[in-house]
Amino acid sequence: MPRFIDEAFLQRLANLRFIVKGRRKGQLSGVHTSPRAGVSLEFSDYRAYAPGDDFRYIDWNVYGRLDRVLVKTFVHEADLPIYLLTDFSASMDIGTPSKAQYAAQFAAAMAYLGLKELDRVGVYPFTDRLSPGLPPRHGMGQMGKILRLLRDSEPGGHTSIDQAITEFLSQTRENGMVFLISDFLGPGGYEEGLARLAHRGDDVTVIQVLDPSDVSPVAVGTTRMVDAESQQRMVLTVGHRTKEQYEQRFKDHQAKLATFLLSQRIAHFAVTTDRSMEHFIHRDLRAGGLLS
Amino acid sequence: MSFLHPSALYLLLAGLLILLFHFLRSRERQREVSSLLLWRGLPGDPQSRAARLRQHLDPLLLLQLGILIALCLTLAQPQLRVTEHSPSSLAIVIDGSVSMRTETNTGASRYEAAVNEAILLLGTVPPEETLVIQLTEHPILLSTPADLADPISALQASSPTWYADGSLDGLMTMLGSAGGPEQFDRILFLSDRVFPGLPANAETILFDEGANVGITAFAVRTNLTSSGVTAFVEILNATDDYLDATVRISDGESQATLALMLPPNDVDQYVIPFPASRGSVFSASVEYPDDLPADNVRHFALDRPIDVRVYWVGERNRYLVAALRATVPVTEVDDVNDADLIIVHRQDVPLVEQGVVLLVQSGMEGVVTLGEAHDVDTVTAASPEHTLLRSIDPDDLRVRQAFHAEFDVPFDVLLSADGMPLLAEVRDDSRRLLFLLFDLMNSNLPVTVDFPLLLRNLAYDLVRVPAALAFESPEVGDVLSLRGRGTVESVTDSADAAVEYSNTLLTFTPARPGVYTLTTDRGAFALTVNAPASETLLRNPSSQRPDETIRAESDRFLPMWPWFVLLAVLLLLIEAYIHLGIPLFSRRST
Repeated sequence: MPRFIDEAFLQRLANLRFIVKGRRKGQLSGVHTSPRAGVSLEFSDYRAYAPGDDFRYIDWNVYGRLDRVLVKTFVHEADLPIYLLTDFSASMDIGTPSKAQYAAQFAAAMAYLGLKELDRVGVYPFTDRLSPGLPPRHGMGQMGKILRLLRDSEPGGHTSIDQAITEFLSQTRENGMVFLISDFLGPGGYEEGLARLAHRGDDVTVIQVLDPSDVSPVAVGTTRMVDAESQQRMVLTVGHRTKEQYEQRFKDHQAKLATFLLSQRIAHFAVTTDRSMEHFIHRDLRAGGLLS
Repeated sequence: MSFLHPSALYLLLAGLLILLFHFLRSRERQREVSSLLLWRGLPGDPQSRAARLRQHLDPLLLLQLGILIALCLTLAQPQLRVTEHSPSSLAIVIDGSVSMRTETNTGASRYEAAVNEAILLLGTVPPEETLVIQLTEHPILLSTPADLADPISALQASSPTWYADGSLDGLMTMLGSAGGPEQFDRILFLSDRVFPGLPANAETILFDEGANVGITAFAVRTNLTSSGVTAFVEILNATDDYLDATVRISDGESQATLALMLPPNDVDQYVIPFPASRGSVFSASVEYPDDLPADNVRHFALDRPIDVRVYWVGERNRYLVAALRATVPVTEVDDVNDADLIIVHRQDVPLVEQGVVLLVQSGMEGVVTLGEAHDVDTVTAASPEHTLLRSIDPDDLRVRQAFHAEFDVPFDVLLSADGMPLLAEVRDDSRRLLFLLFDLMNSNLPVTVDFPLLLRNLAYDLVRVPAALAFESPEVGDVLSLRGRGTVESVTDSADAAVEYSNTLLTFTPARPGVYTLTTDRGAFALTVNAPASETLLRNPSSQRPDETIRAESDRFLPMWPWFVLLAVLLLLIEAYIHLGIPLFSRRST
């Protein structure tokens, strides 16, 4: 697998950061606001002093005016667990570069962005099962592990997004920002899993990685088509009429997916592998309000 | 249309492999898709007739076969013969030098290729209008307009010689005897080199195919301070590659070898010690399978000096004996008739009618009479350019007294002092007499280096003893002298066959390289003859190559291969175009 991220690419990502919807509960300090009071520069509220409170946070002006001992509370800047669920089923092995390569590169870029913002990032490759993956950790040491994991993951097997999400929910207790990266072209369902994920309170973003031939196949005449996952075969004469019919079906498929994701308030970005990753991140994701 | 390499057409059989692979391959294209989910239930397009035809007649297959045919035709080098204007008279000059023996890629030698080319050209001209010359340093008229002999037969019967390239002057002389070069509409040179300064009506067809590695110089020197010899070899690598080669020096009994890396298009000299050698005839061979083996071997013989047979008369002088023995091997004989040199010291002798005589402080009846001694001072050379005075400096000589000499015959004074001859020569057809007209022991001559030098010059010039350290390397075509080794009895070549030589001039001109044997009354002497080193050529630089269009004025052979290369490239581009999925024919969507 080629290098995911080069130095120049990272530099161009340096000014980006995630836009997180609402306040997130987090365990460790980060740069995302948390409903918990904490230590930061941004004042939040007063509360009565309780034994054990840090004397330094007693507001002595208020004490002078009101003769009450109150301690200041601040907005807690919590870190954000970022989960990168990346599809490595056989259908992702289509194209040059393959969808799996593109997805891995995208996941690596997102991981870098998260770790740069002191968030914890975890990666979970999946097919019809969830791989052990890397639980969320912060620090650039995690970046190396993520890159190795993505590099060593080989596409293969069937896709089951529902099953993968079910296993993901059982393995992770803390909600966070979830990137689900897949082509969404498998026969298995995705609705149930995504609905459960959204219900837990995760900030879910679906990145649909497609090969240009998935969107608009080439009319090449009689072709024996082989399903990358099931290896089922089908002989079809693909002319312009069939091509148009396929494209219409694909649009319907996309519309159905978009409608469902919208109903679940899940952000959806579709990208083909012939599009520059940099353009996709800098233009599409920023325009879509995912990054600032 | 003819082919230069028709055997390349056998490569067309590779088309069977292409067809085999085509039919073994699945007739349908196979394409992996992410999922059949969206494809299922699609009715598919009906196949058009053109599509069905394309399915059976794969354009890629046709293109591949076309490319194969074009490449095979390219390799076969087709040429179209176009006969245009035929000259009314033609002189063909075919290079018959050694280098034309080089084998070409077709297996024929350059000479054979040139002969074939010449025969093609001669077919367009009547025999009585043609002149064919084999040009070497000894050019031969193979056929003249006056001859009734068929020039083609003369050419076919000819073969390359072992001589070096001929000169243009010699050729012009020969053409002049046939009416002059301007008499011919066209003079065609078939050679492996480009002759500069050709007449305006001359053209050159080059035959310089073939790789050559050859020895261009070889000499052997006897080691002065240790046993054995040292060989000096110069090797030319006239190829474009670095070559691993082995040079072997042999004296017939033992040998020395040296492994070499020969740089391309370069000449290098090598010194090869051969301490085990006891021989006197050597061969150097470079072991590399090139296309001209003729120059891969070179011979060299250390010339064996013969003893000078000396007959002494009178008192012996040990300085004279020592100086003579220091310069040449000496054998004293008792019979004056067997002597090469008669030395007379301090004694008057009767007249000698023939032979070589050195008279020291001696008179000869009827030639010279010695008188009183007179004091002399400065020695001068009366004939400083005389061969007997070679390397001698008269200023070093100190002579106290010289004898007055009364000559009865004409004589030449070589050295003199105060007008009195010190060294004089009497020379006629049958005898050479050299007179030292002073007392040796009353001069410093015996203790100077000039004394052995004088005796050496005497021995080599008067007696004609061959040089012991001769480094001449005769080549085929050189005139070799047979003098100085005694009375010639025979000359034989490497195969022990007798070789003709000139009895009067005592010379012979070898026509082949090898080791010849000269037999005289003084023994057998090896004479080594080599192929001319000038024939080991570097390839003609491209700047010298004649324009191809010049050669085909009357019988033009148009090379067709560039067109087939173009065709192959075009077909390859079309195949790449199709392979990349760009449809050749635009279709209207229905």
